[in-house]
Amino acid sequence: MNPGRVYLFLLIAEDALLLYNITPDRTPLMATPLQILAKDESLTREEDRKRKDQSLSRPRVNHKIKSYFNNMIDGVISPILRLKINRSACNMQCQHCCEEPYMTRDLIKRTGAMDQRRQMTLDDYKKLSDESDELGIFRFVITGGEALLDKSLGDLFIALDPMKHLIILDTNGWYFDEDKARWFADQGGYKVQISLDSFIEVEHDKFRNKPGAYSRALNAFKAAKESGLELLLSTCLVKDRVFSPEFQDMIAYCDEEEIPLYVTLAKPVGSARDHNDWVCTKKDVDEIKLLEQKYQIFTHMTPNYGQPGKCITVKGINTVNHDGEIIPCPYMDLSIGNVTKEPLRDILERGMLNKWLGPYRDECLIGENFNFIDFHNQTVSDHLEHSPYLPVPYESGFGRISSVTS
Amino acid sequence: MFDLVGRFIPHSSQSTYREPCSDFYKLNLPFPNQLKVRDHPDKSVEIDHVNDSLSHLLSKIKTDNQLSNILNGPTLPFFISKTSIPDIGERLEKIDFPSLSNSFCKAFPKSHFKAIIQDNLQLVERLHPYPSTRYDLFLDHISRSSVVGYYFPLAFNQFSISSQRSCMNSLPTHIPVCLSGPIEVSSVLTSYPSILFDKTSYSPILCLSGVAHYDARLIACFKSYGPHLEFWIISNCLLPGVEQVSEQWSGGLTIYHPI
Repeated sequence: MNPGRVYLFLLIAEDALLLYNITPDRTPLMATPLQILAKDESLTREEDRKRKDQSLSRPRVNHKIKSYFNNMIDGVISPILRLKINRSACNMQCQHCCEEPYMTRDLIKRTGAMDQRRQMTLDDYKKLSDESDELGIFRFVITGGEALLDKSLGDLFIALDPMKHLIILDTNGWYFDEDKARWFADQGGYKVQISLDSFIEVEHDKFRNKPGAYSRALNAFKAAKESGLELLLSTCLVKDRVFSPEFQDMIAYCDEEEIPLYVTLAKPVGSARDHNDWVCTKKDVDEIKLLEQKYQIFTHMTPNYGQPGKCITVKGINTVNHDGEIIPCPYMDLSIGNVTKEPLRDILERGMLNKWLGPYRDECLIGENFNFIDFHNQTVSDHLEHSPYLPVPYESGFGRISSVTS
Repeated sequence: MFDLVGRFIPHSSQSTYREPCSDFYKLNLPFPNQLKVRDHPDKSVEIDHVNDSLSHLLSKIKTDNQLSNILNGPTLPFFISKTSIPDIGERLEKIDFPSLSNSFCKAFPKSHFKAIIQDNLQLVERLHPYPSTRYDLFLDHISRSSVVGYYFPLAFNQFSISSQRSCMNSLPTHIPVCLSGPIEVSSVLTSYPSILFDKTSYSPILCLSGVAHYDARLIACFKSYGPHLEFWIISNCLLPGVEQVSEQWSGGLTIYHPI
């Protein structure tokens, strides 16, 4: 982008951008009909390319994407549903893990027993898939812990239906070798997100408490590419890391390998609850926004699908816990309802009308808003005094916050 | 009418994010109590005459029983040259956005200014003054003479767009006022490009509710995206049939005087 020039982007309901280039003498050029895309718009160009692919391979998904784009101005949402499966079982024990309190190993340590709550069945996931399809939702992320530990994963994919939804796998890469990558692609899998938290091998292995984690992750990238899967590298950013040489090396690797780099901000939750020192400042987050101009790097708050960058609670993503509780953000521990007990539509509407969650805000609520972080962590702390299970049910957490319409 | 921080006191029927208003989002005000313009591009009007007119306007506001408390909030001066481009969108594309872009990118060379429109048509012939906001009168004035004024960006902080507009029914008519729109806010941002750029805090989104898009679901605003400045036409819908009410959205009031 050329500083001093004004670029006017018009985002139309079809998959294209119309670019007005206003020259310094203020004479607007005639608008060309389609697709003048500068390099720094490449993520949107990628969205366009991916949508064209879906029109051929997954027409139902393509239809839902177009419908969402046509109706988003009316306030229609189409969030990602992130499914935590297999009781979040994991082969690693990462220092920043937000899932540890949900895992059987942690529950046994604290209570002597597994989670006693009813867990989602394949029939529940099938029903969820059907409800989501009716609502125009088109993306499922499968995660854990480590999702590949689940021996019924193939049955889950069938229940979710990879022709109706894009199935995205979250993995630490340990088990994602060439055979697994081919298998995932053959099952109808769409994309894999592989975690790598440092480009220094010994640091990543130490952070993950697993020697060999780094080399397995790098091999997983290779395996994913060879199987023709969409791919991204997911990394956790702690305070000041964005300015480090290690992070620059990671960016360079992703640039060279053409792997989109997805950055999550460290949150003071789960295993990192006492680590406010890891929480990113605005200075860190602003630096990422500068880097977005040059590289294929993005956060969950990067502008996408024609919308400004913003907090995506409820509207952009919801986590489905193993027992059906819906959590409006991957890093929160407060529920907005249980999908095995009431319709998904009602739960999402309730979430959108919650004053913390629905209304527009730029900042990451659980990552940057200390007013919310204090409310969240105090609520979790109070809840854990009389129950070992997370998330905090709606009535005890978000249910105490007023609605937009009240 | 306005409280101790210069914010309009909402009626019970008006929709705001919460009361009392929170202060999570902050403007980066360049210098306190700067109530005069430092420079302006129209050399046919002397800077001293501009600032004398501003001082005169300021005195009127200070002595007005209904408006004086608005000066407790951020107060940003502007000057608009007489212009004869009647279409708001055309004027923004030809005059205001290029000036703003030059000013912002000069101040912050690593950052960008973008205008992004969530619609399938252009800005030209798509924006018009919203009835009852008195922005039509403001446009009429700037078509006949240069105008000086003050922009109060937090006057309707955390009000919904429809409530910002309904507030104008209560505003006095003996001093020219209007709900703020893109022309004078562009001018302010051109003069003070760092207002929405703070290293430690997120800034409010400056709603330009004096204008409406021909698609009533859309609204216009200026916002920062990290170190960048952006103009957006975006949806005003939280859900189908439910209007957005955001802690971050702020409507402004413009008080002005032709010179």
